[in-house]
Amino acid sequence: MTPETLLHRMVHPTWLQNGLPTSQTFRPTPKDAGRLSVYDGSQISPRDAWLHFIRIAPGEHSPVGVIAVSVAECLHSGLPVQPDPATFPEHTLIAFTGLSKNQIRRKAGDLTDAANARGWQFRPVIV
Amino acid sequence: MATPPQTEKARHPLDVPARLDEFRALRDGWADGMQYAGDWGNGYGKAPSPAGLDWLAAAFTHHYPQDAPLPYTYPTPEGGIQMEWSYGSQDISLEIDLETRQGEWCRLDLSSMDEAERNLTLDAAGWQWLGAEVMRWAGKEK
Repeated sequence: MTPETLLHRMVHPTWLQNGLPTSQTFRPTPKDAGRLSVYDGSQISPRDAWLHFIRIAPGEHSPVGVIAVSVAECLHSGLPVQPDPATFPEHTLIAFTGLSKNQIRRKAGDLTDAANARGWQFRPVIV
Repeated sequence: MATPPQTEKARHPLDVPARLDEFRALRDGWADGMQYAGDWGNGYGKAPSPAGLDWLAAAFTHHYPQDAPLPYTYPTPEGGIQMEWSYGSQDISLEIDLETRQGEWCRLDLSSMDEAERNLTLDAAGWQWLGAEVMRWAGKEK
């Protein structure tokens, strides 16, 4: 993994408004101790990450696509990036640990802006 | 009670009651996959209650000032609703608990990192205060 490596994140359909992912996409959930799950783009393509995701978490609401931030963008926001291959080989964590709720909100917004500027990495074609 | 359907032409892209109507289709477990990957497939995310959505749609329609800017609106995995406004460096959010009908309001100045927080009772006075605050930071103060 290098500073340029992209970290893929799934976009839930309800966290899309006016066609763009909202900052909820990059906000760790309260029960997860600040850990945000992403895929290591040096090991898996956005399309294969999406296919892996819908096999592991086959919920009612498939992700509407995949967006990405770079390792450097995370580090610039003060967010460490930690590989977590024990969960699955490409699994990586962006660590929002030790931050206040507002700090998390601001940093999630920064990552969302960076990801939206980069654009969609993968969108499934619904036939 | 569901909001009557509107035509695409009539609907504002940030129409709050219409957006809340979209969340009625959510079921418990709707956010599975958004949590830590070790828990994927186990279900995650509480559905917002229909009664809570009814209340919020009605309260917003009746009490939020009509000339105030509309927020982005989305569900939270805890069964609540989040509203967000963004103007220049000002980032305003309201996290709404549909059961207690209370809101956690926050304004963050992204350039100075100044923060302000307030717990709001979302009655008529609470919505009016919120609308005035949003208009103030959006530069639409009367």
